[in-house]
Amino acid sequence: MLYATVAGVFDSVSAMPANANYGVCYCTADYGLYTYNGTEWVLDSYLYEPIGGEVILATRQGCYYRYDSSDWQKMIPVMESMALGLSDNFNFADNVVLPSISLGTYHFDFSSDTSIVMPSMSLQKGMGGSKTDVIGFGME
Amino acid sequence: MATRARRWRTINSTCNYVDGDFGSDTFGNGSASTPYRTFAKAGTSKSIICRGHFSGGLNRNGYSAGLFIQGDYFGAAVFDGNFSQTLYGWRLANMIVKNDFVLPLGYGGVGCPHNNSNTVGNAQYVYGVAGSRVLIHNSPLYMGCVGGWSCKWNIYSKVYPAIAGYKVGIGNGNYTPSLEQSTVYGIPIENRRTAIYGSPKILHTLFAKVDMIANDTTKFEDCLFAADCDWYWGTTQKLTVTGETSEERQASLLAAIAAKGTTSVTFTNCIFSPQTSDELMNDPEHLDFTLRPDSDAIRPLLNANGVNYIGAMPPAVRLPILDDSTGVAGTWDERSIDGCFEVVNGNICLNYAEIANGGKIMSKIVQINPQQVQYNGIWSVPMLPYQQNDVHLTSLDTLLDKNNPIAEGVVIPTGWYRVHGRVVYNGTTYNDKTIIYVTAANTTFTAADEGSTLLQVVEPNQLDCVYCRCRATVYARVGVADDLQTGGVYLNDGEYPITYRNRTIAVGESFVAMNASDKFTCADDSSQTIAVMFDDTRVPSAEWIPAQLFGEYFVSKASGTIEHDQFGVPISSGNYLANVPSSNGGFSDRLKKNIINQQYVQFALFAKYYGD
Repeated sequence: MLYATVAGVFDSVSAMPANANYGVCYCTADYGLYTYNGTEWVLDSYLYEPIGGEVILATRQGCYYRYDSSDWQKMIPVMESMALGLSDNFNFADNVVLPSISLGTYHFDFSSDTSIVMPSMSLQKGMGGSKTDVIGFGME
Repeated sequence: MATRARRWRTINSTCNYVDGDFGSDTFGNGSASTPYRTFAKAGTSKSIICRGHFSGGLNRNGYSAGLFIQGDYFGAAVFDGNFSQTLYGWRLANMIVKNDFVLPLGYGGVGCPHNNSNTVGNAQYVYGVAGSRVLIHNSPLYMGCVGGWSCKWNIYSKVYPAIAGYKVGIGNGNYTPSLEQSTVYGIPIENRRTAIYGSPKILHTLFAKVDMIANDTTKFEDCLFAADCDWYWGTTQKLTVTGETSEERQASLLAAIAAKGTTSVTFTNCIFSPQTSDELMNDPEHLDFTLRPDSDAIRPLLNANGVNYIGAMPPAVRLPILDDSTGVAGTWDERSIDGCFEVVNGNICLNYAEIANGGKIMSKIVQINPQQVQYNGIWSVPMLPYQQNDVHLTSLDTLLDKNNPIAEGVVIPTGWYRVHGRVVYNGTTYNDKTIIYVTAANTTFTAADEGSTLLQVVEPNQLDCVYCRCRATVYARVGVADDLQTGGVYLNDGEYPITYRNRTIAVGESFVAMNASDKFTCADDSSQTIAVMFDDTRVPSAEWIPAQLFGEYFVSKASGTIEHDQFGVPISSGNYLANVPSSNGGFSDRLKKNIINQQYVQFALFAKYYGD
């Protein structure tokens, strides 16, 4: 049987998830996760992290277990980080700070003018030689 | 419905194919059309092309003759050794390798020797990873060799020695260049040694949080060293490097070296950046090695590889995942979660207890200036063994035909099936979740357990995607008195913060309406309006476009209209047909690629459960 105690948060001893793959685990008030190597308790690098009153156990395999006051809930990460690749023509000179608000909405008064001049646009070439869309316009 | 043909982007008839999702070690023969399920079944006699998440390793025990394990594309295949399995002895391509293992025989780890068993343990012939693209994280390296032969577009994150006698050295001088256009991150001095052999040449490579040895033999060209790379004379004497510019820092380092003695290390056109790892890259601790837009690793001129940056990953803008994103624009929105998703410790997770319900999470609106910048890639390292948890990140319901289970005694149409329960087919008993390829007509099965059925695999090509939708401009606005649509997305593009359901929505931040009754308020200006981004009652619907989780982003448009495949799925980087040629049933040689170039962009993840 595997056990963990979270001192300072819970007083009771609760059963660890059987597939946490830690051998015997023990958590101290310092929120360090210790493994028993047969002769002594050794501090592991994976920590309990109390977040917003919750108790989270991060396992070596990358999963999290959250204690919900009665049981451990397994939380499986599906996305650790995400970034949006910039096409190779982004503006180096301005050192673009993103996100930014730019073009905004263009207003055309159909009632007073029969000729409409569209604002100028530059079409840009994306990475890999792909051709981009014409930038769309909406009307109110 | 019939099982759709299995498609691969990488075609090579000399290789064994392995599909971790729908392959079968029993019924497959290793061909592209009937792949195996595990590396072990594929064996060591041929190279392997694979897709899926693998935890079972395949050790060639040092006998390398140039065979490789190659992901179908980068991001398609993840090997997680769980510290008990290894892919030792293989060249690697398009692979993500985590938590590899050291073999008891003393070698092992990621990488391979050259030629044959006679060279095992010979430093001169350490091939290293010998391939590209590869991401290696938290794993031991064969003889500690970062780089080796033909190592390009590699990422080495927190790698460590496989055995104590061979700590981590940069490059092998027997091969030129030994390492090119790569990123090396997180290797402390206690795990370092000098180059394993000769004077390796290292090109266009970014070093961050890597402790460097100044009296090494390496030839660095067009490389960048982050400010958090400490320099040592030997492995114990730390050199002091100061300066606020690259030139000052290089001069400081060279002076420190000169004070100690002479070295064979050379630096040609290198950058000694005053920026740290977190200033150069978006989130290296969470495997996001893309470059920040203001990174010193971005260069104004193309290099020999035709790119204008140093390192393995291009420039990108981070889309943060925050446990509490209140007041922060352009992040994932934990308040939009429906079903099994949760944000835990800065990760988007699936709550295993709720997984059967599926789920959805959306980002807030990301605003860009399409005249200054456009998005052409989605960089997110695949995280989990989706198939082992019976869930995929998709909005499609066509993975399995759960509505038409085939009962015992009923003639089974040819195709691929997944066992629900336990069945006997052709005299053999198959357990729950086993994949069965039915190739003969007029066959049936019997139920080993009462009520057991077969579920047809309709779409074996199913990819795990992130979804994207765009809006070119603001089509409509609403005020404090207006109703909102449940699930609609609204952007506060006004002058003041607003309040929605007791939550402050900052200027530039969007939110998802939880119901049709609550309205927003604005204490500073009751006449303020906000932009309607996605609200089917006021603006035309915008389609969610599937995008490959890790790689190029594009959607195919004809005359401005998004094209769809025969099954109604948009042709985009998340559609497998978009990435295979017409000769193999796809569109890659005739589609028109469009990247994200509209001002308002939103992303989503969908989880679909296909367990029993």
